Amino acid sequence: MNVFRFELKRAWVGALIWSLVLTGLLCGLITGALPAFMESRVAVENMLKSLPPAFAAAFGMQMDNLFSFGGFYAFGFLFYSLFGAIMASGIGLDLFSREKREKCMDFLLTKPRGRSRLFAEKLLASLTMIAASNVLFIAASLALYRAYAPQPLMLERALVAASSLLWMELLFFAVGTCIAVFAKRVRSVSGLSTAIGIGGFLLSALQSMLEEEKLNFINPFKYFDAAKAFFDGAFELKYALTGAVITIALMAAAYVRYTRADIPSL
Amino acid sequence: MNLFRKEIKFGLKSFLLWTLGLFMFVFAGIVKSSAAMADGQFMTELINKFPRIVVAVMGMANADISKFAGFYAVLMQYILVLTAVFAAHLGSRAVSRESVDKTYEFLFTKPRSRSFILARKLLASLVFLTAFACLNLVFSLLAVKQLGLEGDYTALYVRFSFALWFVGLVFFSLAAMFAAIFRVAEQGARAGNLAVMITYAAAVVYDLLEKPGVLRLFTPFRFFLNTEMIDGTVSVFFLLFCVALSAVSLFVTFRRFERRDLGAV
Amino acid sequence: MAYAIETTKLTKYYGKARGIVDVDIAVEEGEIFGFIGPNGAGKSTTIRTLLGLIKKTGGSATIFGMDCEKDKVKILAEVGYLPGEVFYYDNMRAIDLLRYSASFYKKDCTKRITELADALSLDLNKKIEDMSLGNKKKVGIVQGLLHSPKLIILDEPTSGLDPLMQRTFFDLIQRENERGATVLFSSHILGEVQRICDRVAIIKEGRIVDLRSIDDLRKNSYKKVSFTTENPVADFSLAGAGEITQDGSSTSFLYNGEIGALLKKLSALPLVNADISEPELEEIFLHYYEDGEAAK
Repeated sequence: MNVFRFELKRAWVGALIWSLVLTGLLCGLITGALPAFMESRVAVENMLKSLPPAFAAAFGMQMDNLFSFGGFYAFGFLFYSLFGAIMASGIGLDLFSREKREKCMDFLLTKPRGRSRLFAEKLLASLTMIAASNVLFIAASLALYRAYAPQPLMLERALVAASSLLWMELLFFAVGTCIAVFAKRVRSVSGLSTAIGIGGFLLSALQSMLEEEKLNFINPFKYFDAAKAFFDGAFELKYALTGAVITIALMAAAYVRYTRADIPSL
Repeated sequence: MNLFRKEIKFGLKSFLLWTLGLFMFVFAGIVKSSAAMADGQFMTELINKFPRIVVAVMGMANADISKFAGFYAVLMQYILVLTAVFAAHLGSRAVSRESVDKTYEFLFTKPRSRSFILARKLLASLVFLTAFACLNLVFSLLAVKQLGLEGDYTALYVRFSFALWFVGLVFFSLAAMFAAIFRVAEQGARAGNLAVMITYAAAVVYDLLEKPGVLRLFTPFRFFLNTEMIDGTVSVFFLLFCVALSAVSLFVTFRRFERRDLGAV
Repeated sequence: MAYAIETTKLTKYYGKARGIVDVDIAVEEGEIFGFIGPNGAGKSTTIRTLLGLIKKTGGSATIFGMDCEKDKVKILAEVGYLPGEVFYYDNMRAIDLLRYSASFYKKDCTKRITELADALSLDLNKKIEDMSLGNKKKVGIVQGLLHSPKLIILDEPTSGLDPLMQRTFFDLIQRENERGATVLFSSHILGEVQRICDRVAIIKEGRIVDLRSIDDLRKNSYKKVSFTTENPVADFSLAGAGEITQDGSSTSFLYNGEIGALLKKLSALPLVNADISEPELEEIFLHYYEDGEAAK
């Protein structure tokens, strides 16, 4: 487990900072804006009354969902997802391109450890950081839920919703890992991970602009939709499945490549 | 000149990738605008009922999406973020690529001053930034043509494309400066990206506040306000501020780069 | 007895590009085996295939009787490897890297690290990225030897070491060898191969062109002869002499023939000075290559 320890030691500070920013953002948004948001319901409802009844009815259906803890919680997810995506893809990129970046593949790969084992230890180190970060995030989510949501509490739903960040991060971790393993050269981890995160953000914005249902299949922030989880108690199967399949496929591809590739001399 | 050409050739692939993102976004956004505008009046009113913080986080502050110009302005906010990240990437890459690739010994022992080399690298990157802004204009024109919209918005696109370029220039220069200041290239790149994210957060706070005041100075994302862009009353002060900020950053970049120890990473 | 390294028809193609073709070498346990050839001949490709860094296209390779791909991990536990160019993780002190390196082996290497570092006068507390090329190289040497490997593989190891350090390095290698370690030593500098190797394989354009002992290589070949006379000798010739060059009163040539005939010929001349020496491996070697070129 020396590679595991080594990788953790090199990467934990960055992961910790991201986790704190992420959880801080969550706490800030909920404590700072949730009460005001709930109060604005009256104004919105008044406005709806002035509209044609059919229109108001269509919109009014969503009022209860919108003006709830879950509605507001899910609303912030665009940003948690963005940060989570940058963090997770960054972890994948960082750990799996470390030897490539620092030109010491020869060093690590001539040690008496199989490549599968090396891959597994790096994977485990990554997952440890992602899991720890999400434990913090989920704990904060549940605590906020208890504090701000009206009775009766549905903790399982809150838990599933909060876990959506974890699944989404695993997907982006797989993307980062794959790029790290396949790219000839990784110049800047932070540059690439920011680009990946922004890419996900743009795909998500694209979907919400076009409101095209099909586009959800290429919207990585929606595969595990927190809002859906909050109101239905589960993710939408077809999207969750898409996300899971992509994650596993990317990880499998990365594994095969990592264990089989020829290591070029410098 | 061969150095310049080489830089252009090197950066072409990533430029095309970013351009693809731009293309998708502009087209998708504009094609969608007619539908959004249909119930735009209602949406705009509705949005204004929500607390400021929610509106600010959504990036819909002071937006009137019942009109095409208002919708386009919201779209451009996203493009602005895209441009900022791209520009920061260009800036830090121009300064630190040779160190990262460990080819600095090759290049910086050629009979050219460091400033000469850096100038060409930065210039090549600026060509990409300029092309990016120009393509935004082209894509906007093409996309709107598809729409058969009434009225001529060319001036609006031109103004926004200029705004993209100037804001991009600021982030480009800042990222270049950070790359020159930090010894470790990765730290420089991280600082450049952080600058984008922190100033974006500042922009959200700016939207949040009733009277943001001097906060505007700290976020290039609000140097050109949507309302100003739509009305065509671009703030000359902030335009100059952009230029000044970039000039100072680039000056520091050259100075630091000329004096620093070159090394790998 | 099993060979320390044995390859049969070992072949590696990079796509269509030739790496090595049908390489057969057998390194006996306990010997220092040289592997020489010009740049791009396939030395590194062979070594990287042995180490499992790249996958062979055909043939077989075994180390201590174990298959280089199937039993890679077991093999690597017994192997110390020093590449030509050393790069290590940034922001690490030498000692951190060496400890990390040691943590891969199931033995305590602490004592060995300090021993080796002392022998090479290496400051373990310095950050690796602040070190000179030579010092980085020393870190590499310690890194390759700290677990007392049974097989030491050196891929052009001496670049960046000053002559004094090179001697220390060769002493170290020879001591390891006396301890029982087998050494595979690739180089394009023939002097250093000549210095420590028992046998040598010559590789050219991906194929082994010759494999013999160093003594043999020298014995069966040319003598370098040069002499000076009182007056210039016109048209010097002798059966078995080649590459005759004359410069005023000095003459030099390579001789391949009976030594008695040579002496007889020389004694008849009005000599001022004469020198018969074994040629440097280098000179034989160049010969080899030029012949090869000519044969083509």
